[in-house]
Amino acid sequence: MAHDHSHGDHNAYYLNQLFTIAVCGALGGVAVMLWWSGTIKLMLHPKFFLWVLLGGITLLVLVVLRAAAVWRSVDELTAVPDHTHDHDHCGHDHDHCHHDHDHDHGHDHDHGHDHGWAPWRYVVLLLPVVLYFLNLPNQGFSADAGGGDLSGLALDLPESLRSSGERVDVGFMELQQASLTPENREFYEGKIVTLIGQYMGRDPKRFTLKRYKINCCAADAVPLNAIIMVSDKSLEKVDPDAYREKWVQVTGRIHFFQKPGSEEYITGLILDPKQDESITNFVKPIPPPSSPWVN
Amino acid sequence: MDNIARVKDFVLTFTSIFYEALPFIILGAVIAGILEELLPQRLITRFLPRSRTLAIFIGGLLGLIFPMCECGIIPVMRRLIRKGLPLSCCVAYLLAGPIINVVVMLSTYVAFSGMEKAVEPGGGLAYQMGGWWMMGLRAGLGFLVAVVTAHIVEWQYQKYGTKLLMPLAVPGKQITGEDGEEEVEEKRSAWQRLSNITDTALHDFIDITVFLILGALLSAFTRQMVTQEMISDLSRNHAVLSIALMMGLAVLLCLCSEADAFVAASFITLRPAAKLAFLVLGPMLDLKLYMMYTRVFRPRLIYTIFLSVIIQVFAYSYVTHLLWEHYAPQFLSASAVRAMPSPSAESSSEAKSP
Repeated sequence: MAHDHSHGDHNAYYLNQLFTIAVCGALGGVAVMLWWSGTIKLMLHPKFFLWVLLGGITLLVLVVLRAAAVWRSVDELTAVPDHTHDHDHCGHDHDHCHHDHDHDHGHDHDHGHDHGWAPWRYVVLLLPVVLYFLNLPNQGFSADAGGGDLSGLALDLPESLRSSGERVDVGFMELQQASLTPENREFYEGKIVTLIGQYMGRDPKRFTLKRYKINCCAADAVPLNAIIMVSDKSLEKVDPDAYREKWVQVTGRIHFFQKPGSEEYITGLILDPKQDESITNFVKPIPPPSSPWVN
Repeated sequence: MDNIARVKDFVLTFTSIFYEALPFIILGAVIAGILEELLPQRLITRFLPRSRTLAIFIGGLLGLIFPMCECGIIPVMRRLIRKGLPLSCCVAYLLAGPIINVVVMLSTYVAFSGMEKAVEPGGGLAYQMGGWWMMGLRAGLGFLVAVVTAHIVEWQYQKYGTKLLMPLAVPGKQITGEDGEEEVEEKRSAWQRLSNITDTALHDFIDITVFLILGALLSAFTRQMVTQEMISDLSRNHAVLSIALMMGLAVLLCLCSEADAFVAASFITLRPAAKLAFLVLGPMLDLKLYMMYTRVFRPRLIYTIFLSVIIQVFAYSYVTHLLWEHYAPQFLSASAVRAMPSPSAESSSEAKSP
């Protein structure tokens, strides 16, 4: 059998096998634990949760079978000590100690891999395991990730904002899509909506509400931003330091702003507190949702 | 943005790329183990068409029957090459498989459906590609790029042979006896076979996953440096530049072919050919794939494949851009106007029609 390991490197072979079993077991265990603890929600779209669990279980099953095979091969090696000196392949996991064919007949059925000892690979492989035990990641993207602060744009408040008083129950995604067509912009203009997202910005009269949409994983996250402005008529101000990076629930009237120098429209909410109303009725801090994504 | 937040975002991007690919690498490794142990070498050569061109065409369409993502394909492909499947057929499957499969085609359709109705601020049509167009062109160009590249690889293989492959991917010798006839393989017990399958599967898993991790780290790092906004701003109103930039973005982002259509669709104002280039190139070439290719191919073959893919994707996308911008206003106007009864949109699109 054309394996790369023979007499001289049994130790390296077994060391390699033990590390393979340990690292694969750790990765499989971490995959299962991510599913079990719900941490997977921070990274992936729900359609992948089951895949990660099944992948982890499969890896654990492979590890158990491999461990048993290596265990047996050690038994066989110690049970037939002399044979190891006569035959290159005795004792390793491919169970050639008890074969009944002649190795001189010229056939070759190698498994196409070496069992050389390369410790750097295990260091790299342990990275996800170490991160898991460091409890990382433990949150979605920061609000500042990838930029996108709209509060610096030269956007003017409309002179008069339509106010039907009608409340609509739509999310970031629907409003983002609504901004694409004139009919939908017209339909939603002036209606009252409540959105949840991360606070971003430093201006006391305007800030960006940020949420990410994912389709598979955090790497394909697309930011959905809305500009929030406090009406000029109101003296109320938002304290940026109190809200920065926090999750907030914002209630306001919808207005679509045209992005300066662009063909795009930006979803906006205008907060218009009456004299006896506090801005905190419109912008409320909330705990981060278990899944930070809009799916 | 403080450094701790930056590190956390980096870790989140890295782990999400890693855990998304992990189950499919495991699946690929298990299939690789089974193929290695149970698939007789002579079976592949027996069923392979004699015409290499036909075999390459079949390789390019194999994703319709065996849908695999680009990460899972690599360990499977390495084992298939070892079992005697011609390198060119494997390359055709490797490049086209992640694009020409039902899941990816459907996700492309869904991501772009309704895009044809997108309008400019004045109310005129933006002439974006809708779901059918984007799905059809993505699959068509993906197939074309894969088949042409596979033929180039075939020509290279005839010239250089197995020097193009890493030792682990070099095809094994035929199982023949002294008289040249096929010999019956040695009998192995079920336990021995299971042991060999787990050995190969875990070996391949470790071998590929190391490079998946390195690729995911690289990708997470570049994502910290380059934002989608930057690409979008740079490429606005520059068709050729936008195609090149979107191709660069596809290489850097390392997105799953099932998800990339949604990211491309989020570049609302970008011209459709640039999005098409992003969608065709991404599943064929990115940072993590490059790292994983190094476990199968020698540098000469990797550069041949990459050069062929990059040149073709750019050229086809540019031709698509020229054709689309010239002809789309003629054949899209009528149907889109029917779909948009708004008076302003109607008058504007009529004004654009010849």
